[in-house]
Amino acid sequence: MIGILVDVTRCIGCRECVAACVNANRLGKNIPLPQHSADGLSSQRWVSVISRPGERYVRKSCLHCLEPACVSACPVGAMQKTPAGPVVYDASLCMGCRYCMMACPYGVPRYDWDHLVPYVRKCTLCYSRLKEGKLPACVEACPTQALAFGQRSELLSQAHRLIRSEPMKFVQTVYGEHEAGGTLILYISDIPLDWLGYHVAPGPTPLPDYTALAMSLVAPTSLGVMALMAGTWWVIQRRMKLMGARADSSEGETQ
Amino acid sequence: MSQRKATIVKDFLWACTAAGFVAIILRFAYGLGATTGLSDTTPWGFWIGFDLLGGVALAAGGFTIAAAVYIFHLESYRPLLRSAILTAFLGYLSVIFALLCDLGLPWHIWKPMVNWQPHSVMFEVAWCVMLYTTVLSLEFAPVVLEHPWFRLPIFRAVLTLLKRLTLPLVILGIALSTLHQSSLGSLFLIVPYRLHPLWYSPIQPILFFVSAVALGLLTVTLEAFVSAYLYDHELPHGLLAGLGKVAAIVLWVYLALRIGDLIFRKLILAPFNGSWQGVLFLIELGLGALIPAILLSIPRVRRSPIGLGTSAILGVSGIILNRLSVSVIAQYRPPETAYFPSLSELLISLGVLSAIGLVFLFIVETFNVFGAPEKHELDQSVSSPVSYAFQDDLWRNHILRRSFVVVLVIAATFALLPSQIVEGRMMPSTEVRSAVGGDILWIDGNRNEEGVRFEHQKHIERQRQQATNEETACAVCHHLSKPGDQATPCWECHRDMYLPTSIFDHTFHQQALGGNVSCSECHIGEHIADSAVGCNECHETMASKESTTVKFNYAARGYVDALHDQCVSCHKREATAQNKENLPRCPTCHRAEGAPPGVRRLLSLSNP
Amino acid sequence: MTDWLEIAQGPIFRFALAIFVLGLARQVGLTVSGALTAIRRAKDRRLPYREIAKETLSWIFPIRALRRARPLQSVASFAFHIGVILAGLFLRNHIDIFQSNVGIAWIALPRPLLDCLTLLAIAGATILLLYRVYSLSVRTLSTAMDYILLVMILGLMISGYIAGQSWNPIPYNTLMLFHTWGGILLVILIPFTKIAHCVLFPLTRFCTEIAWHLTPEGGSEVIHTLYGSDGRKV
Repeated sequence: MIGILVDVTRCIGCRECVAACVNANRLGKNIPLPQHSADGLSSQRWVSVISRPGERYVRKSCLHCLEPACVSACPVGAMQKTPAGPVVYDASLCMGCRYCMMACPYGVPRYDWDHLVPYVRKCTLCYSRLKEGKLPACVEACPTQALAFGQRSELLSQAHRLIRSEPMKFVQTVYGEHEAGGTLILYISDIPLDWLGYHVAPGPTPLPDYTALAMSLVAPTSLGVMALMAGTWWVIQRRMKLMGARADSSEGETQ
Repeated sequence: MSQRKATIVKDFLWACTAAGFVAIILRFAYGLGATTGLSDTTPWGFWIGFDLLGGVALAAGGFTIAAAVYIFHLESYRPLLRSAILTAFLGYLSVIFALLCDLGLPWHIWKPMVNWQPHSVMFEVAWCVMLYTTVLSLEFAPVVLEHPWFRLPIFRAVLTLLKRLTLPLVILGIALSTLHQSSLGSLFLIVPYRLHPLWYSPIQPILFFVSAVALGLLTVTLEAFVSAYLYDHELPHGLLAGLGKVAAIVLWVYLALRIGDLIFRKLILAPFNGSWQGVLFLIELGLGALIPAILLSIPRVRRSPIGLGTSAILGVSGIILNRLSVSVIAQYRPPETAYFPSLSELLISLGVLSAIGLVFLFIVETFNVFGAPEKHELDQSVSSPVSYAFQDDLWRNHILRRSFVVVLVIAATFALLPSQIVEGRMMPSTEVRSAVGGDILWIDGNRNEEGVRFEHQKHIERQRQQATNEETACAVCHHLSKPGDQATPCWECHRDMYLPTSIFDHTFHQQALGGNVSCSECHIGEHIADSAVGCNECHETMASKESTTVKFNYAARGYVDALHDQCVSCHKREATAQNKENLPRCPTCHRAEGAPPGVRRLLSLSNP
Repeated sequence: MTDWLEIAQGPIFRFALAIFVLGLARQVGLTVSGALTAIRRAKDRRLPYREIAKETLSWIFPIRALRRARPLQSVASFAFHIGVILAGLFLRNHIDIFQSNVGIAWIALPRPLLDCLTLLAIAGATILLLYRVYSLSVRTLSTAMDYILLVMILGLMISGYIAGQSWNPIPYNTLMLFHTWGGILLVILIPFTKIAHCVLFPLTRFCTEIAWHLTPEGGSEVIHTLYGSDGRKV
């Protein structure tokens, strides 16, 4: 599992990562309007830099969950979790139901609303560049080493080392270690990052677990209902036949 | 007389269908973004909430009545059976139709059949819709095949086979419905952080199933009212009262589950905290479930048509409101991205429903749905040549009138839909306000407090040092000055934040040059924009020659683009010249500290 | 005033265009279905298709008509139709309105040519109008709508022509307001008045044939028989 460690304290908000992402993924020019996007992400902006009070800049993109809700939600397997870690999207399978957009706890997947043939768009962690042995475009472009690329486990221990070394400066948690079951993008920061989720900070339970129980009950329920209905039909039908027979016989007795 | 009522209703339905038809064409011609109110924060809107979730729940009458008649042997409900199954079948058809409009890539709708994803709730929903629609069509097929049109032996054979298969089909239908009604609830198990806690419930599948049963029964009731009104049938009072009694029990179960769930999650006081969600919840559960449950529990009320009708309407709208709340209204979204269904979303919903209504009326009039024998009388009357001719003329009359109505409605819809739907989505215009301050300017065109603190005086001094001619120093940035002005500010021409705006006043120039005879002063040949001469043909000195970035044009670019281009191009040059690599980067100008205090006071004065 | 112009060239134009297209389609559909019903019911189902086609064609290109009874009327009518169709469909300004509303555009004819054609058409329409007023036989057949439509088209052509001239004495926008709204009204009226013949003409002979089995030029033969060779004396 690969990953990116974001050090919020190092980010100067220069948006070179955004520009690099736009170039690498051949995205369009349009800046999303505030009435279409609160966090600056859109189908043409897969990474954005959010300004926070006190000259803090926080990068937001797909966090590439370890157990992604979008992959679990997708009815056709267009959203896929690759073995290396990045969550990628296969446009040829998508039917455009947009359940992935509903399911994502960060509200990351965006839609090509202005296109006649719309697809879901989001960061792929530059999966095609990774396969060529290159770094993700944003990591390569960052002038201040605020983004570190590597194996997730190593980045995690590095993050813990960093926040422990300066306990006065850093918030003492690594964002992304446990959120929604853990993500590939990890943050260390001197400001709280609870607002990074879609509405509230996601808890530690992976979202696919929420529907797993319901899905496991599908087969038993259907068989159970069928058996119950067939049984009811048989019992009632038999009772009615018996009652009819008894009525006949009692009629016969009275005669 | 009865014929007339149905005719008026059908005329109305035709008109609605025509309007929906226009909206559907525009939706596929211009895409979802242009024609709907959907956005990245509201990926599911009215179509999912009303047409899909509501439609499926409305169709629940099919399997409940089938279960009552075939499984529980309640033969007295048989008169309602055929119309209930027909409603369910047509309801599912309308769901599929609305879904085709809602899907971004509807031609991929078959993908779940070949690409199995058993972990996805949506996958299960897709399969259930497909299978149950098939089952319903088989359940209803005997009604159609009984008609004299299908006299061929092959149809008769199919009919016999289907009748023999009735019981297995009904059992399969019940199982599929149970799965499907509940799995629509399971769809919302994966959104714990998005859905308001009053609606997010771990027992959502059960709630959806139970409320769908109630809704199905009430829909069958309403439908009996409608067809009794349209065709002057007698209302089957006893049967409907029986349905009402069952519906009351189911509604009480639903209420108990809903409230018990809130108590279990320690949220029982949350509806009363004064938030709009609390009020919505109370309306939904009170008007939509509690009151109909109470009304239907009183035998005298459920036996009177008015009482039964009122509670059925309340219950149906309450449970549909619940579906809308769960899927759309109670979903969190940032306040600036509020959602309201667009006109074309509403028109498409209306059109699909009306079309389905027309199909329903056609089937009811053609086939023996209500099990009434009057069919044969009609056939006899048609067989005489005189009445045949008369019928034909009547039919022609309908065509004449309806085609006229359809033409009129289509034209009106086409004209009245907002131009963004017809011409594609456009950026909303955002007016630019002037920069404030003196030596330090606060540039914040749309007043969202994310402006730039621009050190005007420092830039002037630097420019004076560099410029060869002191007089033209200003013109490096103030590249176009209006007549009689030395340094026209940016916002006087770049009047919109994002969109290009015209800076040419046609009427003014026409008047100033002498009215009707003035066209040829600028236009060579025809009076069209292409034939006009350039502005600098007359205004020779208006555009500065010092300016590097700008051409003289009729249209001024958007404020944001124009200023970025002006500033960043110079900053980039200076970055390499002075070796300051941060100079062209965003935070050099866009700082978080905001406007200087003096300017802030000025702003508060100018913005009441 | 410019607002009223913009409305007429935007939504109202779309409305009128939709009425025009769908209304004419409806008329064609109704005519065809009516004709087919009539054929189905008729006892004599023979139809001289070749004759019908020939007559329809000669009706569209009335070269033969020149030699017949009213050469001046035929020439006037021809000039009028050519002018109305070409200036209506191939003027740059008209095409621009089409493009901004429907997104379709086509090639425009040069302005001077259209100006000439419009003048000819105005002359033609005036002659036709005079015929309607002064010729007894035409006047007997005319309804109020015939006069209204002809005067309307004449007004539209004159206002359109004047608006494009530099000697135009009336304020441009006032004239345009009249021209645009008048044009919209005309376009809406087309499917519901006799101007619907712009699409129905190929069916005219066909329908006459089905309805009465009258031979072409049968009318003038009747007149010939009744009144001798000089039909104009009626």
